[in-house]
Amino acid sequence: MRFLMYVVAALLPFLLKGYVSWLIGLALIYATISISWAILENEGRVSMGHSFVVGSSAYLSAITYLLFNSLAAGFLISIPLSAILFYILKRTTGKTAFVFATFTLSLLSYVIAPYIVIGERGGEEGFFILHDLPSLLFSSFSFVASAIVFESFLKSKLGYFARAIKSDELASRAVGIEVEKVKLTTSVISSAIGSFAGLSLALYFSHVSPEIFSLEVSVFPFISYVVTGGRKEYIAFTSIVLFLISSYLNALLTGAHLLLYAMLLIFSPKIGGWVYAKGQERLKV
Amino acid sequence: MLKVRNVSKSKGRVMILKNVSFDLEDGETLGLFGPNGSGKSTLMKIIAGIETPSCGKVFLDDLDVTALPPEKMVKLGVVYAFQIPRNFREMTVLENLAVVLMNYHSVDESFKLARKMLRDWDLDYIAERKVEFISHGESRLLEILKAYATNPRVLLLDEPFAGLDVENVFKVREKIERLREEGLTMIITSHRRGILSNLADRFLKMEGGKIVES
Amino acid sequence: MALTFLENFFIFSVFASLISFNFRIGKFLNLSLYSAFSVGAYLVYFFGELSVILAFLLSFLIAYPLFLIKERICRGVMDATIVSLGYGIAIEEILRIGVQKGYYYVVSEGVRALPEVFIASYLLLIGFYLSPHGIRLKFIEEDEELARMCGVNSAAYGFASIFIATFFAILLGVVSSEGAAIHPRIGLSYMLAGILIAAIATIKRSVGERNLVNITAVSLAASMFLEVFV
Ligand SMILES: Nc1ncnc2c1ncn2[C@@H]1O[C@H](COP(=O)(O)OP(=O)(O)OP(=O)(O)O)[C@@H](O)[C@H]1O
Ligand SMILES: [Mg+2]
Repeated sequence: MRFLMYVVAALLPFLLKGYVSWLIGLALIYATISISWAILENEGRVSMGHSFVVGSSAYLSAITYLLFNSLAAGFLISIPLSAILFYILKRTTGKTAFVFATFTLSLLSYVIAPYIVIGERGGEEGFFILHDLPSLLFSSFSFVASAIVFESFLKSKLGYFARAIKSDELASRAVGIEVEKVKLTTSVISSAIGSFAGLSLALYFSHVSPEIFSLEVSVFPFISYVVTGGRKEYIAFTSIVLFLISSYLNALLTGAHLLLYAMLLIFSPKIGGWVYAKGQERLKV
Repeated sequence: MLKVRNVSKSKGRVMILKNVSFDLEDGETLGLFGPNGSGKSTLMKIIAGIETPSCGKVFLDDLDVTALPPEKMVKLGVVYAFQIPRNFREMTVLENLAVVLMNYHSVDESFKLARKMLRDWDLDYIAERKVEFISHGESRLLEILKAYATNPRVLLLDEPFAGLDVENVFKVREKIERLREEGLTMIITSHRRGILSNLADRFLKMEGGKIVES
Repeated sequence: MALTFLENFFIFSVFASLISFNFRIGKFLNLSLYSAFSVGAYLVYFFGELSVILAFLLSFLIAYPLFLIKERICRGVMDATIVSLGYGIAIEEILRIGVQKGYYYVVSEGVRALPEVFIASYLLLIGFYLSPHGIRLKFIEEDEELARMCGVNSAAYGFASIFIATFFAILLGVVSSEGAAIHPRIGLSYMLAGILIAAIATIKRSVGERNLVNITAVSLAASMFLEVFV
C-alpha cells in the first residue's frame, strides 16, 4: 500500500505540468532528505545537521564537476565523509549531545560555505552545474529507491537492532547485538540517501549555494517527523505535503513558512506528548 | 568451565570486590548470596563483560576472556540477565524476544521462534503489548527469556526473584528448574539463601566484596 | 565583518559565557541567542543610544515566554534546546517580515561600548558566582534535581540565566554593529563561535567562575587563530 503511494508520488510530477510539476519534484527531494533522517531517528538519534549531509554532497559534486568534469566523484566522496563524521559523533556523544553536535556541524558548514572559492567561482554565489541530465527523473528515482531501502530497512534485522539500541544500548550489547557495527551501517545508509538528495538538489537547480547548508534544511526532517506524530513510516508523505504547504506560505509572504516551522519546533514537545498519550490509550483497548 | 581468578574492582576509592576467586563446573548451578551491596551484581557483570575488573582474570574453558565486551561474551555463550530488567521499552514483548533471536536467525524465523518461546513460558497473552505496559513479574520473565534466547552455555541470573509475589516466584523457579534440567550452567544471586535452596548445587556467600563462605 | 582582534575576543568570550551560563543554570542550549543579538543590531539602528534601556525591556519580553514554554512543556534538555531553536527562528522571521524592508540597513552611528559590555557581563557573572547565590548556582550546575529537592528554587535561577543571557546577547548586538549591514541572521556566526568555545572550555570540567576563566582563555586563543589564519 505504502509502496504504491511512493510510486504515485514519484509519478506525479510527470503527470502534471509547469510549476506544480517542478514543485512536486522538489518536494520529492525534501522527502528523500527526511527518509535519510528517519533512518537515524530509528536508532534514537535526532539529527539537527542533515543539511551537512545534503550540502556536502551537493557542494562536493559541484566542485568535482568544475575541476574534473565529474559529478559522481564528489558524490562518492561525500557518502563516506558524512557517514564517518556522523558515526564519530554517535560514538562520542549521547542522545542529547548528538543534537548539539549535529546542529553545530550544520551551522559550521553554513558559516564556512560562503568562503569556499575555487578559481573565480564559489563564494556567496556558489557553483553552477551546466548539464543536460534529466534531473526530475533522477530525483523521482532517488526518492523511490530511498523509500524502498527505508521500508526494507525498517523490517530488516538492522532496523530491529537499531530500535533496540534506541531503547537501551547497554541492554542491546548484553544480548549480543553488535552495536558499533549497527551504528556504522545505519550511518552509511543514511548518508548515502542524504547524498543522493544532495546531488538531486544540485542537479535540479543546476546550482548550489551556501543556502543549501541553511537551518531550514536541517530542521525540515525533524519538523516533518513531528507532524507525522512520530510515525516515521509516513515521514516521506508528510514531508511532501509540508513542503508544498510551506512553498505556498512562502509565496504568500516571504519567510512565512519559517514562522510555521518555528511554531512547530516550539510546540514539538507538546505534540510529542500527544503521541505518547495516544500510545497509552491504545493499551486500554 | 568458568574460572574467576583474583578479581578485584574499585570505583573511586571504594573497593567493591576484593580478590574474588572461584570455579564453576559444567552443568552446575551456583547460588551466590549475600547482603545488599556485597558486590554480587558487580561480580556477575564483570564475568559477562559488562564491567571490567580492576585486576584479576576470568577464564572460559581456559580461554582468557577478561574484559571482553558483552557482545563477544554472548557469542562465547556467557549472558547476564539484569537485576532490574532492561527490556527494550519501545518494542512489544514479542519484538523484544525476536530481536535477540535475530542474532542467529532470519527475521521471519525469529518471530516464529519468539512466539513459540512465549507460548512455552505462558507469556503469549502479552506478546503484542509494549514493554512499558507490562507488570514487573512479566518484565522479569522477559528479561530471563531474552538472556535464554541467546542460547547460552552459562546463564547469569541476577536476583531473579526480587520484587515478585509468591505466585511469580513459583513461576520463575519452575522455569529455572527447567533450564537446570536442560543442563545449563548457571549462577543465581539472591540476598537470601533460603530462596535458592533446591535450586543450586553449591553456594557461595559474599560479604563486603569478598567470598566468605563456600 | 572585519572586526579587530580585541573586538572578536570580547564578543566571543561574552557570547560563550552566556551560552555556558544559560546551559549550566537554565539547563538547555539556548539557540535563540543569535536572534537576540540580531534584535540588538536592529535596536541600535532605530534607536541609537536609547537601545540600552530598550534592550532590558525587550530581553524580559523575549526571555519570559521562553522560560514559560520550557517549564510547561519541555521534558528535558533536548526538548528545551529544540524549542529555543524554534524560538530563535521565530524572532528572526519576525524581524525579517516586520522590520527588514527590501534594502540593507547600515548602522551609521552605533554605540561604542563593547569593552564596557565585556566588563559588565563578567562582573555580573563572577559577582553572581561569588555572592551568597554562588553556592546554589554551583549546586544547580552539578545536579539540578538534587538542588531542587534540597529546596533551591532552581526555576528562578533558570529564569535569571535565560534573562541574563538574552539581555547581554542583545547588548552585544547593540554595541558591535557599527558600520555593519545588518540582517536577521547577523548573530548566527557569533553564536556558533560561542557554542564551539563553550564546548571546548568544558573539556576541563570546571564549575562556576573557573569555567568563565577557561572560556576567556579559549576565546583568546580563538580570536588569535582568526587573526592569524583568516
Ligand atoms: N557505579 C558505581 N559507583 C560507585 N559505587 C558503586 C557503583 N556500582 C556499585 N557500587 C557499589 O558497589 C557495591 C556493590 O554493588 P553491587 O550492586 O554489586 O551489590 P549487590 O551485592 O548486587 O547488592 P544488591 O543485593 O543490592 O543487588 C555497593 O556498595 C555499591 O554502592
Ligand atoms: Mg545486585
